Amino acid sequence: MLLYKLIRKTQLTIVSLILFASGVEANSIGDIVESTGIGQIVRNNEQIQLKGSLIPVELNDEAKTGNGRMLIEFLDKAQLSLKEHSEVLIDEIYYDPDPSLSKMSMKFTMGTARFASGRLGLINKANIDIKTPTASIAVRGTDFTTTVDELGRSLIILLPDDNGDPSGEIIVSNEGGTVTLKEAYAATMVTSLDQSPTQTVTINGITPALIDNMFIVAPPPEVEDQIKEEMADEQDKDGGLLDVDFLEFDELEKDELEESEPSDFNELDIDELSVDYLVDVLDIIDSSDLFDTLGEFDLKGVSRGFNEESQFNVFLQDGNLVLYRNINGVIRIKISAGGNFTLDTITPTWEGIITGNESEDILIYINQVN
Amino acid sequence: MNKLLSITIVGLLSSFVFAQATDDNEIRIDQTGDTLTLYIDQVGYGNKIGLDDFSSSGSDMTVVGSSLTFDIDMIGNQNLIFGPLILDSSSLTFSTTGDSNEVDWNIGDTGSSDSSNYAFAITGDSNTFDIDQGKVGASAERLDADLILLGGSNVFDLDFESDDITWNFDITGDSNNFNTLQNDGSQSLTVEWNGDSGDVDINQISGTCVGGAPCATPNAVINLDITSDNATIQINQKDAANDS
Repeated sequence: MLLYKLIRKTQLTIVSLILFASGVEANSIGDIVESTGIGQIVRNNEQIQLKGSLIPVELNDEAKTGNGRMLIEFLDKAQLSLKEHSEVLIDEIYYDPDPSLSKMSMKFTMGTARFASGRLGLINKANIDIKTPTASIAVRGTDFTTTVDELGRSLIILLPDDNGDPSGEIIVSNEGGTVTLKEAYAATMVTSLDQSPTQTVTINGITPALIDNMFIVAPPPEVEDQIKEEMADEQDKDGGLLDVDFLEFDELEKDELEESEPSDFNELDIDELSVDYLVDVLDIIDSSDLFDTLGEFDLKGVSRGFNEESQFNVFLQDGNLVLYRNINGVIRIKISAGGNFTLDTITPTWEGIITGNESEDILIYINQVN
Repeated sequence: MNKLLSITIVGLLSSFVFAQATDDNEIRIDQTGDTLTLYIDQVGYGNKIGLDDFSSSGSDMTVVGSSLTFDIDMIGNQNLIFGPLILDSSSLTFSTTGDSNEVDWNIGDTGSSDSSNYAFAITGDSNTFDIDQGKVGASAERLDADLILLGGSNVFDLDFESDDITWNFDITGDSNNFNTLQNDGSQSLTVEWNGDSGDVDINQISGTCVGGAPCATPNAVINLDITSDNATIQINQKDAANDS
């Protein structure tokens, strides 16, 4: 406990020192440390033209570049760089002495931006949320770029670290699915909110400096090929008329009656009117030789579907075995998948033993007297 | 050991007696009248709810009335609670967290106990519950009871001489012993059983339905889901008046 307090106090001090040492205002969350060409910060609907000046950035600032570039360094040393004609909204950044309570959220809305997470560890990576118009990016200690076009289509590339190894992992997801980038220069393209990101491809022969808005005009060949491949697969899956191979048509060869397996029997097939209240016990044949395999159950004394003798309906439900009987009272027993049981039933119309996997691990006696 | 006892009593008509003994936390209840709302939170060891000082064995507390609301929470071990309760149109919520607790409740022992709604939540081991509802000659209709049990080696003996009963029991734990009787018309019992080495006895004995009217079909329903490596389950559905 004491150690925890000490660490927490130290963290508080670090944050305080950072704030004071950098000389920023209380509501500053970082600084523009480089600015070339045309760039501006939109703050409270006011456009602040940079013209090469370096100013602090604040929450809800929107960083924009024209024919210029910008580098922002946040309090935790995370870096955001914008190339030409790019826009990023700094949506939410909150530093708490406890990194698990800190949070960073940004929206990359246009152009090419690079984000490298902070070295100070003031924010748990799980609390860093980067969004593009079509994707959400979860960060695990990472350096990556996004290139977003006017339609919101997003190309996301994981960058290497100083040693050329992957700088971590990023998880790209949207309503269509999720893709994880793990390799250096692994990339995915997201074209719409409800369409899954493309499968990961690795782009060869590039460096971070080469990643810019040219990828909007001409995406890397590896990415283009992947998009084409997935589009072709999608078209094949649409089942259009041109996809039908009439030579393979063999529906007329099927005997629907023959293929109507009792295994299709389910709760909806129970016919409450099919029960027989007048079964002659003397006519009951010895059913102990019956054997049926249903799911994880080797059944004896009963078979799947409706059993005329015992009046049990037997079927699988989510892998579990259901035995249902409705004569002078309903008994419905569900045995979990793979359960070993013996069901000993005495009723006025039927007496018998039903087993599952020939075991008495679960022993059930039913005594129904009218 | 620190003991905490807090009671909130609202809307009491007629008489109600409460006292606390010096050695254990003891709540003595002798109550007659309608629309009682009683909340009891007991935290600690060896708490008791009943009528007398429990110096030898506990005597039943007396609760008589209709439209009663009981909400009793007991946290701790070796707690005791005794009946009987005679209550119509009442809601009873009872939860215990602890081991070796004993509940001996006789609901509607000498009077009617219609339209009751019970919710039991038990977390712990080696608890003993003996709960009876209804008695021949006393009306006990339209009961809705729910039980959630999480723990092992508990013993439940639930005998309900009542018609139009709906029970939903969710039992998780090993070596639990469960004995139930639903005796009268229109019974429904749903049990979800997860645990090994269980011993379950389920008895349904038919009878008349509400107001003596013919019972709808089916008159008795048992719905049992079992996940267990070993369990012994005995189900009796009878028109006769003898259970297992």
